Amino acid sequence: MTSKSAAQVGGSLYFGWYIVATCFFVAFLSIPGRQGFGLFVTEMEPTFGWNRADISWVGSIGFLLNGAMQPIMGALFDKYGPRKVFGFGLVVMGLAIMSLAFIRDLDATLPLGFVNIPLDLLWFIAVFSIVVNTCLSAASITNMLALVVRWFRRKRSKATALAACGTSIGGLLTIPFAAYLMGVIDSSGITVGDSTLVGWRTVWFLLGMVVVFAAAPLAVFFLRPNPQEMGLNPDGDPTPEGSTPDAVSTARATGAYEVDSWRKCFKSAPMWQLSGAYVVCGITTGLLSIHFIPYAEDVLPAQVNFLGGVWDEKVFAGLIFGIMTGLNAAGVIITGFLGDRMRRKNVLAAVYATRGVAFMCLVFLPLFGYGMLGLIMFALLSGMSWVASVPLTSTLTADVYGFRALGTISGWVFFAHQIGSFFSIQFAGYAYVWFNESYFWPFLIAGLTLIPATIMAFSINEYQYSGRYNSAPAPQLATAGAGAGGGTRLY
Amino acid sequence: MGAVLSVVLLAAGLHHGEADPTLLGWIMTALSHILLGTLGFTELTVVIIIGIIILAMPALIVVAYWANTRGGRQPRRVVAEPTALGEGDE
Repeated sequence: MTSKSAAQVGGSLYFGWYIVATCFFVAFLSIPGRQGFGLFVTEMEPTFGWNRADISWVGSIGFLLNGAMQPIMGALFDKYGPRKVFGFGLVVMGLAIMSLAFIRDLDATLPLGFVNIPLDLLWFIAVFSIVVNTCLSAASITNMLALVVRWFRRKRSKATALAACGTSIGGLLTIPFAAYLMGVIDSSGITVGDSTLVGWRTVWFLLGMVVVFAAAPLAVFFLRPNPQEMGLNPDGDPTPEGSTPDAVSTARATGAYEVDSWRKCFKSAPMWQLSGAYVVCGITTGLLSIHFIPYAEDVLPAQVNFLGGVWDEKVFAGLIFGIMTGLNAAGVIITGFLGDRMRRKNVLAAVYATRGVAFMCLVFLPLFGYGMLGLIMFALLSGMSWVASVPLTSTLTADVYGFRALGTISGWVFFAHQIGSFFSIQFAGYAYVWFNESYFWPFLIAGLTLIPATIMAFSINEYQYSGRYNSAPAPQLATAGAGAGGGTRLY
Repeated sequence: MGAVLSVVLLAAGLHHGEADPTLLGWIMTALSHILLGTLGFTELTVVIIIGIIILAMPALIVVAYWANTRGGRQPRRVVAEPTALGEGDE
């Protein structure tokens, strides 16, 4: 039996929580690079004379590369460890973001036969789409969670949830920060060398500086690969007398399918169940990312009465999306805490089921004249389930397949998510035309896919396959409150 | 076709879709309606508040670590003290 936690005995906070805090900060800062893209390009368009189609190519290439690089960066994470991958990725990304401040209007094009690409746009594609997005894959939430799970056993779900909610909080704070900063410094600027930076240039420069001088050093110092390297045990649990952390690590219980190569995991059911459910996650989130705007326009009247005020439909739809983003943090934390107390696959299934109900509200309530109510219900329910699937999926992946190839495996699972997004967006675009310019069927079909997703998550035999419930040697490490199943949770 | 593919790919790499410029514009309008309109903040006030939060986060992590390890020493290895009955970790 254990006696006291590391925090109690050592009188200090368990080092794993510094890793969670650092991952939270890195996730928080990565938001402007990803989601703030749309904010910057609308400011850059008039400077360079780009149009929206040109800009779309920058985003397209970048985001496709970001998705495709996930398994590769996961493999590098598994091979070289988090400090090198995160440190190098963040430094290069920060420098690349800073360099975006110095893009010139080159007033020349590169003829490629079927299209002429402006050279300044090519410059932007090279830096943002290729360099920044590749580095974003290195410092991705996938790799972060693959690291956090190594440091926690009993509190694994909670820890990953807290790290993941950096994306939600970051979305809430950094987007308005960047937007208002552009406005504040639009008329004044800072001088760097021979250049005076104003507006969006200054914001790129300052954000890059924060990444290089705050996030990167923090990552290099704090993101240690595992607790054994520091003579600690997961969760900060004490080492049994006469044993060592290395011995504890070796003796840890493993999932039935723990693998040392990512290829092996594809031969087992949980990988397909997790990936299959994640494809649906991608289907539903991807669909909304592009088609939510026109759908809201169809559903809402031009003027919306809400909370005693009259809102323009677009402002109200923006508010709905903002509420959904804000609820992400609450949803991910609640499910994170539940994941440490219940079977994680049940919590994951509940997340998909909740999102399914949200889609049904979005689809059916407008049919009965409750369009605004449908959007509000959708925001509340889907907000609670939006990001919650991410840490739960990562945690379950680690529970079943162990840590040895976790970065690569998580990268592949995330890639499945991307495939779902890609095809759902295409399908919805075509289906909208097929069904007489109506979003009813695309959204209904997407919502219905959450039924098999819920079943797939629920049917994962966590008790049998997860290391969380498997017994193993070193019984002295048995922990209290092992949760459902009653097995000792050793890793 | 190129434009369709562009739009399709634009969101393919995201879990959220906030990268879409139009949607971001909507969100910012709604936020400004609340922050600048209802609450009466200025843009500069919002920038200063969020800027302090951003810079405070890494500083707090370092300060907490420094304070908890009494001057930056590495956390020491912890050995369990056997007890008669044992205590739960939670």
